[in-house]
Amino acid sequence: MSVGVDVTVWRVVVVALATSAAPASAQWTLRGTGLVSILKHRVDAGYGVEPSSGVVGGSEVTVGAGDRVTVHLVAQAGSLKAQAPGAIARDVAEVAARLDAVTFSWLTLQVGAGHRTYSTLLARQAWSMITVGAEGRLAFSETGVSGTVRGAILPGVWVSGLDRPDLAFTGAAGMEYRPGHAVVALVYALERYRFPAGAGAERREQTAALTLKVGWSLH
Amino acid sequence: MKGLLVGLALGAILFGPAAAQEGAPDSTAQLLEHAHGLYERLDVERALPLLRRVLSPDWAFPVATAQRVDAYSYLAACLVLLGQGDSAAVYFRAALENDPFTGLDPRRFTPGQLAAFQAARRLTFAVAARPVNVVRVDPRTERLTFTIVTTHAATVQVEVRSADAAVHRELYHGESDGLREIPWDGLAAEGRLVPPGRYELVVDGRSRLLGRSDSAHVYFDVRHQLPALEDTLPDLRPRQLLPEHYPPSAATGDLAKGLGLAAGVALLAVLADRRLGSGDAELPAAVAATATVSGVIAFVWRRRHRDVPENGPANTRRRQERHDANEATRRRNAERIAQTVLLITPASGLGP
Repeated sequence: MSVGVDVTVWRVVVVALATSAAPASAQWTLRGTGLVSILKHRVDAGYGVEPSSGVVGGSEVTVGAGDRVTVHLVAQAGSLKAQAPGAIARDVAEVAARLDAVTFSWLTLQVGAGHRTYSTLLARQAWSMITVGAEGRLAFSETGVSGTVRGAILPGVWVSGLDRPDLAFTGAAGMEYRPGHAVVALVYALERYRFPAGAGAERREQTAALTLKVGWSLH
Repeated sequence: MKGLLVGLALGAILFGPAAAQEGAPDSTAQLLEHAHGLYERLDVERALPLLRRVLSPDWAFPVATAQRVDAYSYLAACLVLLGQGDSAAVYFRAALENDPFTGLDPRRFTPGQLAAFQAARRLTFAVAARPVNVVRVDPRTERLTFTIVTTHAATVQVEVRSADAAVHRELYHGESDGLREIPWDGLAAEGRLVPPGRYELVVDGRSRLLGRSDSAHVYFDVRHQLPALEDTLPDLRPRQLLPEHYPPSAATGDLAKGLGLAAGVALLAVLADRRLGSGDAELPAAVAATATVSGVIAFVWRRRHRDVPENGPANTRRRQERHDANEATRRRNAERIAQTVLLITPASGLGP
């Protein structure tokens, strides 16, 4: 991604967040959510595809100011087992923060940052990421039932030992149910990265996750 | 010869300024001041030509109305002292026609001069109103006072009108002779505070002695000064209320949303990197199935439950809360409007 595109993206984000700023008298809300994911990780660093998968668990704290601005803090970790000969088991841990700004009732702009580590017997690889995207919401006629579709680009990805990727995006879709103060969601998410060949081979990496979220809101 | 030159020089030094002041004054005010001095010393014969010079069309310096009235008054007073009563009356009348507020100070003028002036008042009819000053009036406790005058007894009608004549109020209608102060509380005829805008005070008078009429106008602007008002909230829009009845299309829409979301999940799965192989299809399939089932259940449920009676009271409560909030806002605004203060500033005419 070029510098010009970077600047344009950040301008859009800043304007969107500024226009969605919560009023001083906004009502604050707090929600705690437990996360359980089936995570499938695939990487090809030029030596063939190395698949691994496992269960990752974590929690999310959401703080809302009014009904327009929300901050999400996520922490999760788990172990992925090798799923093919030659693949290496690894532990994964991640912390992330995201700011949501509701632009329309059906559209939310999102900007976030995260840090992830993959640890194997051989080495530890650190990932730092910045995401910019949007989430669309399809509200069903029944109150509290909705579908969500999310897409984001990652204009900033820094991986230890690797150049920055020339392709990085993430997408997610799922169903969400909010009976009263409870929140239950099932979401499929996909992350794709492609690192340029450089001196070595081209590297491709992907994670796919099915996540069950169960949370409770405090008003 | 030398002694004569020294004498001339001394004379010029001693008498030069006075001679220059008397011969070539450099302003109307200076000449009037000199004429006043002569009058006070009863040197009427020398004061008269000076006063006539001020009133002459050939006088080169500007003459304000007050200065012209002053010159007319002293000229008339001088003529009274010289026994020229008829001529004095002409000049007193000229002073009154220029400014009906003209009066003579009894401490400075003789009874004969005052009597001549009163006679002139009876022969002249004019009405006038003093221009308003910049003033701040709290209508609850204060009044704006207009000052009007008639040169002699007259029937007077005094009215405040807006520039478009839409707002008006009669402040006085009756007999008046000389000065009269008329208070105004800032209200229009219907008892409401006048709106901001350009106004005029109209004084119409008809002489009881001469059968003549005259009028005077004073223009001023009225502005309101009050604490900032709050906006009321708009009525609740349909999307801000809970649905009480669903159309048949709602069920179909739910089914479409469920299927559409399932399609979206499938599309997202297609974006997976094929070069990294497959084998993750069960993850998007689980969500797609959930979305599809949700859509079907929502479709069936909504077809059987189009009415949502429990939302009726909830909507009524929301509307009542909005109504109560707006009523409270209106009450607060009414209290603030009641504190309105009028800012009065003079204006030059009906137009801007």
